[in-house]
Amino acid sequence: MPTLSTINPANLVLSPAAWMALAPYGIVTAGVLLSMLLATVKFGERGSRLPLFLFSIAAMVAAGVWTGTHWVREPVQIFGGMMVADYFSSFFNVLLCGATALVMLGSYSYLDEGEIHYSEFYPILMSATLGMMLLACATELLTIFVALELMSLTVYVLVGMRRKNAFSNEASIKYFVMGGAAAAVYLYGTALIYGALNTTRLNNILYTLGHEPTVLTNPVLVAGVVLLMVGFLFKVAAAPFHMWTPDVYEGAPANVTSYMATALKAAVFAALVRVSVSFFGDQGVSLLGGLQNVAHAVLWWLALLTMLIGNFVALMQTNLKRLMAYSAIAHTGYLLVGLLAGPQVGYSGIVFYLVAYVAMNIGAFVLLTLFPGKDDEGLEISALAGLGKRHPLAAAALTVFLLSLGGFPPTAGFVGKYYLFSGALAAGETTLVFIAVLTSAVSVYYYLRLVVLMYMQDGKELAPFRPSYFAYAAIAICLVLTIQYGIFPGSLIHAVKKAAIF
Amino acid sequence: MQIIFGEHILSWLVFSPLLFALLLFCLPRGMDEAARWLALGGSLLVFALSLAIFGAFEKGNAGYQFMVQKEWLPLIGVRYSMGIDGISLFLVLLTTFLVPVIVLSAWHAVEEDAKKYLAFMLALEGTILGAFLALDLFLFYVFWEAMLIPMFFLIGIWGSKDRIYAAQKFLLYTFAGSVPMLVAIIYLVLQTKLQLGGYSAALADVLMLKLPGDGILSPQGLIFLAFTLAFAIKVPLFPFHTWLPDAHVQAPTGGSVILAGVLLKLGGYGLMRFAMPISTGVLPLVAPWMMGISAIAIVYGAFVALAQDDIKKLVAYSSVSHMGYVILGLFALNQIGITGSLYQMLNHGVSTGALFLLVGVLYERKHTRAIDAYSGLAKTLPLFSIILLIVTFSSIALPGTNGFIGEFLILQGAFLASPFWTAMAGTGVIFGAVYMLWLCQRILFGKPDPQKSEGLTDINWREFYYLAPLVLLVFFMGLYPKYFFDRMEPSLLQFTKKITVSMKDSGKGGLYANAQHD
Repeated sequence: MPTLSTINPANLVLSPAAWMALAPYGIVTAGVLLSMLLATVKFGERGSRLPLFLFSIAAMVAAGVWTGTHWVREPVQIFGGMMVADYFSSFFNVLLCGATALVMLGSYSYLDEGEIHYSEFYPILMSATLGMMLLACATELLTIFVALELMSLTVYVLVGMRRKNAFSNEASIKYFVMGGAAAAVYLYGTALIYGALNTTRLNNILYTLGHEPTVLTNPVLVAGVVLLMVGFLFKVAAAPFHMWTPDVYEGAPANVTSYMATALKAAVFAALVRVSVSFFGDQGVSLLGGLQNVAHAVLWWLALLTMLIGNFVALMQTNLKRLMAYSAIAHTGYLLVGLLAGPQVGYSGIVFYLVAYVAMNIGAFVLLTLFPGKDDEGLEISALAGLGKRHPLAAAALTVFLLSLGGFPPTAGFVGKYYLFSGALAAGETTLVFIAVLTSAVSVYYYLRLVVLMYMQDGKELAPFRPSYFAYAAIAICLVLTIQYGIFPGSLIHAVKKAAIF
Repeated sequence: MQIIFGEHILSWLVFSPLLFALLLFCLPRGMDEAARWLALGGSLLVFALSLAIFGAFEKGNAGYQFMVQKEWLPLIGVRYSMGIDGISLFLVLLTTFLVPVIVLSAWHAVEEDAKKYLAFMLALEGTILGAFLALDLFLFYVFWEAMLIPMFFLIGIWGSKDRIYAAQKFLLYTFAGSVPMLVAIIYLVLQTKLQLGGYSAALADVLMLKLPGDGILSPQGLIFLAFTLAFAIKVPLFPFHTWLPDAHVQAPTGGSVILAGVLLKLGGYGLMRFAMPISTGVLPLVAPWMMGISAIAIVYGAFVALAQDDIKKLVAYSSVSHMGYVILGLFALNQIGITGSLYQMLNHGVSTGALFLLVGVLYERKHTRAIDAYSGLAKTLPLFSIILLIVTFSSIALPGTNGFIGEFLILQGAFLASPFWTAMAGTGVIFGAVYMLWLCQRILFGKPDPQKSEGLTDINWREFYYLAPLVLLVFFMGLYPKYFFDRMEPSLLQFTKKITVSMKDSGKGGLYANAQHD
């Protein structure tokens, strides 16, 4: 077994395969740096931001396409096992770059509305994406921390991008303070784990737990694992660590909200899945013995609480962003059900659901950003009244996304829930699945309330509708994905099954 | 037909209404007249297709015909598989028959956004047909849930005053009732992996599973409960009926017709196709309970109908009562009762569909459905009154009409299983006659009040065209039921065998097995 030693310079020499696997990260990094340079150049009389916008999207697409064409089938250890490039990380690279590109595409005209400085927006957004991509490939607790911080710090800034808006500033500070505390908790957990196991590499942790059962009873380890989990659960907005979510989601610009709800959650879940494999066992082996049962019980209750709080509190929201915040909490709850089901049957369901969630949630948000008005005043649910008459196509598309979020067939949301919950049932989580489907029936009420407003009530436009061809393109892509993975999810199921082998 | 459609004739049947719906959605604004003709043509085409299937249907064959089976999601065991047998044949025909009728009835009744109304109606038709034909649990669930959406819009957009409340109640009630069924379906699919060695959601594979069935808390019992909750809400069986009066009263005429005529039948059909065959082991245990509940539903529905002053609400509660018979006959667990149930579903579709259409005719003229807003229609609207009387006779099961055959068979079958509950249900027949005849007396007879009959005109040719086939069916089904039974019988016999044989095996089915009729 490899023991932790001081870093051996030989480990830092990269093989050609490792270089190839690192390329997507390099592309995004180059994108960040070059876009900063590009932001200083003034195009045209009034300074068009089209070049910067196109360049940023191109960087994301390039990273995604590179990953797609150089798909890593056999795991490649990079930097002596601090990172790994495998099917899972390739999958998340594409997912995260795609989600980021969709967010950019969807919010081209929204940026003016919120008086957001685009020259800062695109580089920072891409830095956050880089952090997310690293999260999905990091296999060492401190590397995960660095990736987590790269992502978090940039997102704190993104949340505060509407600089003249008090809510946005408040949200940024709030998220920063609480996120900082959560990061500290995570780091403390890592320190304790290192103290107990003398390693921070996930492989070594798995190995040590399997071969030295005595450490399992070490309270330092238990405390470390608990703190580590708290750090993660904060980031994915699981109850009872969800308190920041509604305020931050409301204060953040709508496009950043959608980015946080989808890409950020996907990345943190990717890391969480990897960490869970190392702590709670692979192939269904209960390495942590008694601790696993405790962890299971705690996570069980947290999943339950998250679903209940998310879905029931969402019933009473009148602000669209707050509504989507609670809906995001509820979806975290469903994903936690998949986490409980374990690596064998549950994790592929998580990955599938994340893809579906990215498509339907970004799609819904892009539509909502078409009529925000000044200070996002158009994001009250009353703004939707009568939309079906005024903008029938937009209303129809939003209806599809909402039905998908509610889990209606034939949409990706339904297949995602079916697949996720069938994994959980296979793992014997009958009660939890029952509660999950019942709470998702509750969620139908608040999603449908919006449909009711759009089609069955009259209202007038609160703010001018801002059509944008880029946004239409983003909506069309999300719509196609939502329906395609609802009717023909075969290829995606195939891919996520392969991705979730560790 | 094989040459034209190949093996996909049922796919065409299901997806052509959906295609027409899509076409209608895409029509530009302001082309409502064209939309009406397109919808009429489309629905007639679908009806013709279903008639062609009916013509080619083999009479003596108990199994599924025109099967189509394609791999869909092999990784989770889902197959795209559809087939038609004697149980679903006439329900499919009823659906395809009622939709052109509805399109005609909505010609002038729906002015606002007619193309969207018709599009949703055709989308509803497609999903309903899909649910009737699906032989894969996953596929069935997809259609089962998908059909809620067009119905939701039909009630919510074109309904009357409290339409939003009614639409939301309808959707949430049925959706919440269906999710336990989803869990049960997932459970069954996982069991196929354990017992048969591979995931499969195909009905045939699920029926091969051996699941413990001793007691209501055994897997079979819980599966029965999960499925039956979904189906009982759809039927709707007392005490899950509360969404129905709201939905019916608020829905536009066409929505009410398809709701009462076809949607409710899916509950009964689902019980026959899925719930009962999958959990045969617990049937002897639950049958007396189900019979008791349905007897209560029959009497309760009749009594509540008696107290209504809104014609549509009265018909809605009469549906609760009539659908109670369907469940009563099903859980008699013998051939007579089950045949009666299936027949009664068709009868109810015809007669209640016609009743709602007639209410729609009145509503179109006077924009009220209050019973005391009308009187003496027999003098002012003679043709309307004749049709209403015929449909009423069918609804109260007068011999010579279709209702008689269905109710008679159900009561006969139920009597063999439980004389007590049958006696109770029998009183429902009397109350049924009371509220329907009382309704006729109040609105048809009595002195014509010139103020009340102002603006009332007798039915016109368009209305005659869509009501006449229903009236003809009332008599045809009442006088020559053999025509229908010939095609239903083999499948029903097989179904009865399936659910009673395993009861004999478990030694609990003595009474029911003896009651079998050949």
